[in-house]
Amino acid sequence: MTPLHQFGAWLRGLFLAVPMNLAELLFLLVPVLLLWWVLKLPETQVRPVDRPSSRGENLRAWAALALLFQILIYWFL
Amino acid sequence: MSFHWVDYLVLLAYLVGTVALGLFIGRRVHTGSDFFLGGRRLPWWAIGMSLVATDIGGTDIIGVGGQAYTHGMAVGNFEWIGCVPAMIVAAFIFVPLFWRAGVVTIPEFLERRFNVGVRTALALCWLLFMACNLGIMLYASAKMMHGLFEWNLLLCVMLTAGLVGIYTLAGGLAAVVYTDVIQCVIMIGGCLMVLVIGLVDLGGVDGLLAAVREAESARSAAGAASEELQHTRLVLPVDTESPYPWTGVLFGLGLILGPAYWIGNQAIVQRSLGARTEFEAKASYIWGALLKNLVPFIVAVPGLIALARFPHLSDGDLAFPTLVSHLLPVGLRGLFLAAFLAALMSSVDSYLNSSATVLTNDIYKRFFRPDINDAQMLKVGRVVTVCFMVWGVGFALIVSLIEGRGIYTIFQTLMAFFQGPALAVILAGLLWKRANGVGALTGFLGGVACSVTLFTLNQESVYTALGWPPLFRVSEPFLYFSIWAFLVAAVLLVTISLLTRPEPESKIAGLVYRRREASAS
Repeated sequence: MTPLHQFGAWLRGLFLAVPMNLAELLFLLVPVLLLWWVLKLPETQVRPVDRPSSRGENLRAWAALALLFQILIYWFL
Repeated sequence: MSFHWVDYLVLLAYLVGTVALGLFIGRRVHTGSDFFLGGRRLPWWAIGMSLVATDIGGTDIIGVGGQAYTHGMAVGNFEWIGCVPAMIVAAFIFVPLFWRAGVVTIPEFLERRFNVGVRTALALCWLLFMACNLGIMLYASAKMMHGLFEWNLLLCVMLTAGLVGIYTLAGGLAAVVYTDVIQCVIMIGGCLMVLVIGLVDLGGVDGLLAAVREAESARSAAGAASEELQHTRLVLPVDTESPYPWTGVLFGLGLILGPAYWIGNQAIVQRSLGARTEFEAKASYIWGALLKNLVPFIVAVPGLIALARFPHLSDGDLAFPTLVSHLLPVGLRGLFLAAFLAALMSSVDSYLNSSATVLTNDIYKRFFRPDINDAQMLKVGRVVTVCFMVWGVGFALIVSLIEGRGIYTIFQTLMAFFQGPALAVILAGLLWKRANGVGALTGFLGGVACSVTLFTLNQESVYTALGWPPLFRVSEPFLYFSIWAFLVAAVLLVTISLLTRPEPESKIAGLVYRRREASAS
């Protein structure tokens, strides 16, 4: 066993010890954190700035919708 | 699988429609910019659908359904956590910077941010991968068509290359994007049809779940206990027998390969560079992310339906075709065949166009004809497209003469060699203004060297000769090569950048992300 193998075995043991419900929580955390980030984005980044925009032209809402789908998917499956 | 003449009529209508649309668009192509970036006139909705269509190949439809049949819905992670988060981040951070820079390729952007060495190293890696992948995709799809429909293999390769080549040659990126829209609709429609008919046949979702549990119990009783109750789960344990342990999926796919693909793959990013405005470039990725949520339901769930209906298939890849041949009536089978070809063509056309773009812009123009004008670029782009088409057919035939699956695996590994390091370079370049050219090139080469070393040490002949056990327990550890190569590249890049002189502020202005910076659309 080389140090590389020992390190690999240690890492594998470490991840095996992680409870599955915590692993599932991590998968859920990815879209949740991204949703939080998207909701905090400045207005200039989510709307066209060179012309007046309609209500539908708000990328924050559509990105949030895509992430909400992700949250629902990882919550229920 | 047998087809009626009505099925072939449906297929013919699709093929004629696609090629006619591509040729029609070709009438508006007059310059290199028209050819490589659709004249920067592409709308967000078309680009978004093209992103989705390009990502799903013909072999993916069969393969994902097959993986769902064998291992369950965990394969859906490739479309969900492997795509949606990366697309959202790309939309708001990376795509605007690329679009605003007015570049044609990602390597071109990296020369502006770093230096010509970084540009050339990445261009050569992507070129090698895309050119070989063209042949691999043509061969793998032709082999699948041959297996499913018993068509002649050479005919399948020539037919696909010829049809895709004609409209890509005529219309460039615009033809690719607009034909992808048709292909996306047909692909989603065809697969949705299989899903709905399959679910109705089983008495709805409850009927499906009950039948899957029954099939799993039957398998468990037959001795396959490790597969039990995994088919409806997305997160699988580290010691799962499937190729999708949660660690590999979350860290390898979600954090490395997914972002590398959606941020750094020229064949993907190129279409967003052709958007009408920066806002539309962002919107295209968001629209694509919304559509991506749907894909595993229409591609993977039919695999579960096949498991419920036909639990004893010898090969998971037979799941989709078996379902289609048993469930769909005459005419609708033709629509599925069209969906399969649409998925195949939408991927091949993108790689054909992007290979030509990188060779023409990053090699020919950069090193041999810096003074070339836009009209000449169009001519060169078209000649290069023909060359890649011929190359793709030739390489597909070479692959068919050797062992197909082995070659496919080798090229998957080749991509894993440089995707992690390429992501490290792009992330550092766009998010950290202290990153410099020396650090980026060293990090990239170091990362590639790391993955090549891991690959070599994991070869049976090598570790046996050294008296070691294998480095990885999984049989095809591409995912792990990417993680380690990314980490090594990132560490080298940061260390070397901090030890050497930073890039001048004037050089990197507008090329590094700043959160509060006003959008320039």
